[in-house]
Amino acid sequence: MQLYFCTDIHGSDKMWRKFLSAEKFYGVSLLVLGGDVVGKGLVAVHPNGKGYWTDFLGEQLKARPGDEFDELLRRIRTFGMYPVVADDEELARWERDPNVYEAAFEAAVTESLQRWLAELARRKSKATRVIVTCGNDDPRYVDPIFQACPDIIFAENEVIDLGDGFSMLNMGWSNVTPWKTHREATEEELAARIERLAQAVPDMDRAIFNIHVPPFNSGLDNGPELDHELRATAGQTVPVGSRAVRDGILRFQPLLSLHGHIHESRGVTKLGRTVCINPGSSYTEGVLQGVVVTLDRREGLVSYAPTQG
Amino acid sequence: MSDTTVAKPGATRSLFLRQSSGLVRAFTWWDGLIYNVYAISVVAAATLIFSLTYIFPRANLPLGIVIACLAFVPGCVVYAMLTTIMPRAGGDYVWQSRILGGFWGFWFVFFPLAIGATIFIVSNVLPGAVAFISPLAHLLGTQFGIGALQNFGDWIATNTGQFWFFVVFLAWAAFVVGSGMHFYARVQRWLFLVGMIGLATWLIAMLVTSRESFMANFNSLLAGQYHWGSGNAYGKILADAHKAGYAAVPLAQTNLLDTILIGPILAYIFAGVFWVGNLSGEIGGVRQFRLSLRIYVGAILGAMVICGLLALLMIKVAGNDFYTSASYLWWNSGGSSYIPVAPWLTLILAALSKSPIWWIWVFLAFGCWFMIWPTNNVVGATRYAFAMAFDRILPARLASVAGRNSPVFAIGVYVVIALIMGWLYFFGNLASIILDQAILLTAGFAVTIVAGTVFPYLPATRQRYFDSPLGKYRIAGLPLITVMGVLSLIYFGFLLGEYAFNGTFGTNNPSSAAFLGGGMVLSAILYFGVRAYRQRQGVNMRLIYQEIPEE
Repeated sequence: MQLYFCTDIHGSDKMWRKFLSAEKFYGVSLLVLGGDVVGKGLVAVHPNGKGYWTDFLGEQLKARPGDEFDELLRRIRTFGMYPVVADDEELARWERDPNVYEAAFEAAVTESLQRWLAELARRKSKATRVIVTCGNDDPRYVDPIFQACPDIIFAENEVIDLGDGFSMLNMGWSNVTPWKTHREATEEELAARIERLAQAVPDMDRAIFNIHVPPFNSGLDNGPELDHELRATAGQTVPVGSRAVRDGILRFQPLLSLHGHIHESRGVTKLGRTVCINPGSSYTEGVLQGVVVTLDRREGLVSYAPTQG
Repeated sequence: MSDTTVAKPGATRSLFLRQSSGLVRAFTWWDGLIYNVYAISVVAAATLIFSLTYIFPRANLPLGIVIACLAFVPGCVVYAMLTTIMPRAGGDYVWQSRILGGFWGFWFVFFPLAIGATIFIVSNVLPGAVAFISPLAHLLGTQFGIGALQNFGDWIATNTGQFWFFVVFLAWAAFVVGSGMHFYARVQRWLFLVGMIGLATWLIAMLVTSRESFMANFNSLLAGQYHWGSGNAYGKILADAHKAGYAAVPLAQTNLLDTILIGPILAYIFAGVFWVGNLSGEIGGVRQFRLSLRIYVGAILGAMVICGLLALLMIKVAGNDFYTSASYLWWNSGGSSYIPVAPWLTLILAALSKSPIWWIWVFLAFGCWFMIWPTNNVVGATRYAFAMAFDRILPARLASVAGRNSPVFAIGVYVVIALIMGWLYFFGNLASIILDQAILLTAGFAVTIVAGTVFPYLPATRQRYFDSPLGKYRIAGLPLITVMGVLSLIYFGFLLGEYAFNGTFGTNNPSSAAFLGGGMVLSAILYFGVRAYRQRQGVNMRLIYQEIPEE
């Protein structure tokens, strides 16, 4: 069995389409998307009479109605942002009332995910399974959207039977971050969640952990060190992963453990017998980082190949 | 994580970010610029490299510095654009492999830049032994009447002494880098601070010191501390060089051709601006092109100003004919067996005063510039190794970290290779391979420039380039990165052409060809060997680099 795992695509249309293409491109029968599916913000596209303009990643982009406008929206979506045409009055409402902004954001996320899932239905082979889990950055309102989709297995907080004796434990929650995101818990709570899920794993020698946050101090969890104003300090990184995840891996020793969360901390390491992989994420570069894993009923983990699609 | 946002104050906002992980404030362009200057470490490099420009006696060193730096500006633009579009640790390898293909990325980075860094460090420690520890120990020994310290200072400048200094320095570099980036950054920051204070005092001192005072101080220093020159060391150097047939000239008699021809020598320093590419993924804010641009272009222009001023004032105070003559004699008359202390920038700075406190301050401040320079080679090499290991070309252990999140295994491998290179350099009669690294580094960086140049034209990468906000920049209808790439490659072509065909640079010879050719062939064999091995493991390495189609 071959599976393809990627994570942290953060709303990028391009990454989603590449994720769907990975099935045929790598010849795998199982696609796993490991959380942080939702983008990080809205990009206001301002109408100016003759057309539109926006300030995006420090660059001012202009477009006339028609193809240029469509192209502008496509480029913004490629980077995982949600373009919304908004005049000054609308922007003022976003600024004044966070609830208005949140409603606009939720509408944009919902529209985007529904478009994604429609594309999935159109492109997916019947024999291929697609597992989606959430990450700490994914609001709770995305759960019912995924749950309602018949073409994916929404595996958040569940153990899934992969066949051939393999199973996958899935958890998108992270330890507490400075940003107070949607799925955070204390280390004690995370340990309890892992413990509860692990009880449902039939054979740890054939188990794959798909846990969004990487284990603490594993080399897969080095994030920029921040000062008290959440400002990155020069060239310094610190481990920011979860101690509960580390303890869980060392205790249960699954065959393989897949992670994400820390985009810049891609790498492979071993904790005890467990191979731990964080493929990282470069979604803003238009590159889908992932890993192709080959499993065998008798041999277990045959190989893994990090990819830069 | 590490997504950054910069809103324009007072302007109509376009970007509305929600509260999500990784929204850190931008690391300012000034922070990035300082980080880049750390890597170039202009003062330590300049001390060594300025002295080598004697090869062209009619070269105007300050003007040559300006020309060389400006010639690298288009390359800086290309690197800034690549950094903004693909900000990754292991930059050159990542950029080349993702744009040109896996083999090319490995081939032009593994030996030229990753292994090249192990050769680079051998010559980089030279100024530390000869222009820092040796004179400092000698002067302290003389001042305090400790003969052993004096003798140690003299010994460290010998071939054997330099080798052992190299071994100790490697241990220092491994310790600092192995202690984690947090500790490393802290050490750098403090050394940089002291180094900058030193630099400021040197510039002021050179500005206010006359030629006559310098000559008197120089003669006194050499006679009093080293018993050399019979009270007229300045005149002896000019006379000895003249007697040996060296045609030194004052600055006014220099010419443009020789000034341009010192470019390949100066590239040894200033191409260092591209070395930061391998760390670009660790500098926040570089996804903003303007900030990334300031980091690279600011660094090369900053280096131009610092080095240009140092060279100009040094020549003002010491004289161009004296400086080139002294350098000629050092490199052609047996080094420390001719003159007991290297007549480099540091000695000239020391001779600005007769005060022992000033002498010690000069060498200590220089030491602060020196100690943060070769250490960067270790960091850079491990970043390349990490990126290659993650792509399964090098053993996975090179990508593993331990202790304080440091790639200890990769550092260990680096140290072993560097020790072998050091032994070959000092005892293996292979000192000339040091000169070959100029070709290696230039070629490695040039291929990155090539990758940037063709980025908007290759079917596999075209879309990615034009999807980025930088896709809108054009000059005469052509993508900015391509125009800057072509301009840059003209200068890189000149540099490589000079290295390859001009015997003056010491690289146009059979041993260089064997070393460079052998290294590249072995790299290719390694790549295809690993690819076959991985294939047997079920890992198709070609797929690692191939872009997944969207449809």
